[in-house]
Amino acid sequence: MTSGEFERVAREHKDRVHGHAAWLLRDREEARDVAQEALVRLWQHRSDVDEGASRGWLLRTVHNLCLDRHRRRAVRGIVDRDPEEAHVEDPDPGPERRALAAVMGGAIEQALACLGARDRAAVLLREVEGFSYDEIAEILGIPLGTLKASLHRSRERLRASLEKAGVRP
Amino acid sequence: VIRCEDARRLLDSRLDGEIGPVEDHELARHLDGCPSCRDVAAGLDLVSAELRNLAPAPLPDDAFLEVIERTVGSARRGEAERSAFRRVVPWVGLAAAAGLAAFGLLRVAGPPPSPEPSPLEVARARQEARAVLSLASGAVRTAESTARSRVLAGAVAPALRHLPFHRKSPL
Repeated sequence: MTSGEFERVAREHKDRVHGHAAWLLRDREEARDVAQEALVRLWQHRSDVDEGASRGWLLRTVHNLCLDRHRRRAVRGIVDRDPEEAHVEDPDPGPERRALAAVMGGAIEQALACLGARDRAAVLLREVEGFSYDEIAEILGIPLGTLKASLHRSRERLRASLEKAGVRP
Repeated sequence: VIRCEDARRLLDSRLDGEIGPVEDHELARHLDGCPSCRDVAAGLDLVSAELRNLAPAPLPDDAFLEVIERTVGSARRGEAERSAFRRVVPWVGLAAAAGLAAFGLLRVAGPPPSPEPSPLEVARARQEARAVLSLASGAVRTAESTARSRVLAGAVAPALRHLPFHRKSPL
């Protein structure tokens, strides 16, 4: 990838990369740092990444950077527990998550905030980015069956949250 | 006829566009006769629509410019510096080569260094120096004599009169 191609790709995906980081981290400053870091890493690996594969590469990098930050937060005991919690049924989001959800805005934003990081990433990659199951499984580094179960569980929880919030079709 | 459990699974497949025509037909038949699954289907459609309408979170312009500065900008600066260096290097090389060549020539063609001149060499050098001084002195005397004779003969005086500082000259 040449300098010009990199600049075009970075310009095309910068908002997507930042938005994904913002949804996973729910912290404006951290999302900005992660988005910048992902774009700089793309530059550093530009000889290995095809322009066509750059969107998936960037989102995978964002996902990994966000997981690192989640783990650091967990170690420091700040907000989230380990991101592996995405595998665990969590009917009660807990006071911290409820507090975060309260500042997220609309009902769907609040519902999303109550999902685990990996479930949230899976839903966003599918519904917002339109990636296929195979692509999402590769980005998240999980088996296809795990991904399908995650998507099914997340959609059910989001539907229930919207219903509970009085948002109906 | 499929069960509600299967129908819920197929709803996901339908949302993702991964449902076959036969399964889609079976799902539709099930939803016609099952108000509960119909509500779930409508709720899932709503979730999907809401997610697609999520407000974008654009990366601030200054953050993006910082990235460009750290990547493409840095590379361009580095390239410019390398290019300037490449332009200078041949001249520096040439100058260094010329200096070395001159130094080498001096070493080869010049007199070999001697630690101290012998008394004989010193005496000869004095003699040569006296001869040079004597010749120079003779040349000066000849020049004075020639100038004097020409001035006295009137070859120079008429011309000197035209010069400002010689207007009152007795010549």
